[in-house]
Amino acid sequence: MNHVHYLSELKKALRGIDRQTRDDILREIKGHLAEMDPDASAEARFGTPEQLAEQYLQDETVSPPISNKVVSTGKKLLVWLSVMVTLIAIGLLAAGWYFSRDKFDYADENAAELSPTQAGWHSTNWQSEPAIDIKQAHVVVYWHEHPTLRWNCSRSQQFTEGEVIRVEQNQCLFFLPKQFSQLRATQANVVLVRPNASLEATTMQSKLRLAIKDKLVQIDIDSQRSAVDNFSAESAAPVSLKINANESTIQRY
Amino acid sequence: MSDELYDKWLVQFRKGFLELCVLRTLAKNRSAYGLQLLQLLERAELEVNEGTLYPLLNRMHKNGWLESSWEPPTDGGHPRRFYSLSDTGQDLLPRMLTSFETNAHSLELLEELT
Repeated sequence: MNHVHYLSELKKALRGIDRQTRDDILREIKGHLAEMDPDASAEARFGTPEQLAEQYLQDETVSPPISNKVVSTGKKLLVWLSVMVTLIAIGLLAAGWYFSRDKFDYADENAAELSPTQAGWHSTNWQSEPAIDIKQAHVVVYWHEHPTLRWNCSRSQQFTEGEVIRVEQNQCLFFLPKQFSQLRATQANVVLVRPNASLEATTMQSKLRLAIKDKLVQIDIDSQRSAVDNFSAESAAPVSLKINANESTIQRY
Repeated sequence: MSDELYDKWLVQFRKGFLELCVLRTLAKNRSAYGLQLLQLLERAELEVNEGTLYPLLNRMHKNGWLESSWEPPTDGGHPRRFYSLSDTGQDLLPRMLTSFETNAHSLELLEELT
């Protein structure tokens, strides 16, 4: 190993020492080597570069390399953190799904929740043509043959015959008389279950789900910036559903 | 194996002893650079190689026993690092010499007593 190579290897072996000290060491050894016979072996006098560096390193404050133990601990910590984050994410998704799911199968008109004997149901005579205006609310609409309006809301509400049925920041189940024909939904979540009368619905930033039998309902959707499921057009269907959707989602239930 | 054990002991012994010798040499010669010190120690029949001396000088300098300065050689060539005793080194030397002599005396006494 010539002197130049020796110094190069020594420099590598002194990794970890502060730069000034390392430079002084290299400068000093280089000066000594320059006064030696160029053919003389540096290793014979100094030891290998690694051995010489070790002598210096014993006395120096060396930037501690990250020990295997720290790396190993760090890796374990990272794995645990990843697992925890994943579990939390799954938990949040599950919670989101759980709390966002429907309370029962709204399409099941025999559901216990819809029974008039269940607590919270109200009823009033309704002869006029009801219009319903839903804002930031969750509403499920059923139809029945009776000339009554029946409802069950999480927050108590009263409706007056002849006036627009306004639902705001509430959760309601409705049984509407057949002559119901106008629905407006704004930032709302609405489910229409097997409409048996024609209806015009206008939605804005809302989600409208339709539990229908295709052959019985003719659906005509005019949508702007909306996501709309495929609904087959049944021109001979007895019930017509016209939907004007703006920034909304129209889906099958 | 016995040579290895002896070598280990020798390394430990020589560490302290060489430090004393370097301090003693610089007290006499005021300042010297590495190669000069090496030659002086070799003339005193001390077997020292560069791989031992230079790290030793570095340690003594770090400990504050020595001062150093870089000086260009009068005949050109690479700068040389000259060492001299610091105030700490000057205080240490007589105490180390006393300690060495005391221990040498104890060794002689042991020789006589056993």
